[in-house]
Amino acid sequence: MSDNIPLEIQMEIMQRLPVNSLLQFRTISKTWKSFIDGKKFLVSYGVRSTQPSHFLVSYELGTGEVVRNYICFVDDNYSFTQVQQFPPSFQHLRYTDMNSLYCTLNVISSSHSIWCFISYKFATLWNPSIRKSVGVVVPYDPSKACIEKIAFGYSVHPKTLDPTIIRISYSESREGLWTVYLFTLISGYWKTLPPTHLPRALIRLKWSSQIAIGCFIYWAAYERIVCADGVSNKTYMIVSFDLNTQIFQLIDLPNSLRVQLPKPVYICKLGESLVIYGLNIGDLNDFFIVWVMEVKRGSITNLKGYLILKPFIV
Amino acid sequence: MSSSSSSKMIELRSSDGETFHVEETVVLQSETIKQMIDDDCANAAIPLPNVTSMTLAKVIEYIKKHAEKPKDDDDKKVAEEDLKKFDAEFVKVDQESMLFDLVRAANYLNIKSLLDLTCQAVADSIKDLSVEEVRKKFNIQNDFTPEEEAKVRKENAWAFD
Repeated sequence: MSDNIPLEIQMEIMQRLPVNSLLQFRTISKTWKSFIDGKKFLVSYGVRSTQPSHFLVSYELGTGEVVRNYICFVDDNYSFTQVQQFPPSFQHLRYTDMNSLYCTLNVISSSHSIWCFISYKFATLWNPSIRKSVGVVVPYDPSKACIEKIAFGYSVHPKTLDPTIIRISYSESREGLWTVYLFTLISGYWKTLPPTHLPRALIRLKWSSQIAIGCFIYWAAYERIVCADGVSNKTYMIVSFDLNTQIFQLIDLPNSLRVQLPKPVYICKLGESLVIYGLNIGDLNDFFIVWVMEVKRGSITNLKGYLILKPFIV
Repeated sequence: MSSSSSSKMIELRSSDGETFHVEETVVLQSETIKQMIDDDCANAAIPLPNVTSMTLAKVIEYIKKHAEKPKDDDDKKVAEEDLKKFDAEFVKVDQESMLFDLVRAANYLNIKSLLDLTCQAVADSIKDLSVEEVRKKFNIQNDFTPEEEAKVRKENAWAFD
């Protein structure tokens, strides 16, 4: 070869190599190693991977106070790889006690083939296609630990490919505004969102009910309203978070959905549609109800409902 | 070229001075040339000092094929299959240096699909090579000490610096 291949092209080529070759090619040069080990590669390699079929199995082992959560990655050959075998490394921290780090690991969700796990004071961004992860220290105030409830949101921005984590906390006593911290991997730090970006203080999110579609994260949520006669009522809704404007918004449920809302309510994603589902216990029949919808400019469109009757058992 | 629908012709000049005439609609697949046309720099022949006539001819063959529009839905399926076959054949070049030239040209001309295609072809061709062979191919100096290299090889878990 007379001419050299520019580095940017070498990197384009690297991103198209299979994992086994990449592992070996880390020894080619310091430049190759630092690129393959870099956080930009972690994301771009995952995004290019076209196998969304991977799934995770999460389980608990132990009794009493020594319950540990485990998460396994299931590959195409149905073999299990424990996520805990690949502890993340932290950029500005030497964290040695990986055991306690991983004992309460919870799956938040996956976006663009990058998974997000939260364990206590740490978050892990995990790319199963290259079995690589990066750790993020999550803001944590021990003095508030027993009086606040915490929810997380996670998505990879579809344009900038920047993994974004949001930590939401509100007091258990139903007082005060939400506190929301936002982290992006490229910026590398957590920032506090201003009150103008937050929804009404009494809105509560359903834990681990988040999904990411496009530039938005959605949760199933409710607000408890106490009437004059002391009776309290829960109003259900969807809360969205816009990754571009970083503002939360409330999306009201249409009447047809509201009167037949399953409780507890679950939320998931089907293609680019948002799905609300759950079991309705009726007087005559129990039925499973599924609502498929699209969200456009803060309101629900193309709403379709499906009933699935309990199968008749002979 | 008498039909009224035919678009304006753009003249491209390769590094070795050969000129090529290509329809504007075809050549717009190159972001770099599109930018030049938008900036009104395309009144005379566009000089491409980084691309030889041999490479440019191949690139033009590629963008011409990719500019063909199917007439209807039935045609669309056939055309997609046809395009796949074309792409597979396109990267089967006799000399490896030609493939590298195409990667460089796709990068310089900023033709995303051609860059994807050719980079994947290079990746496929090097994936089973030894580290030493890849270094040689890309002209990369091994800047590890033997100890460092042994250490990197030993790491089986992946870590960030």
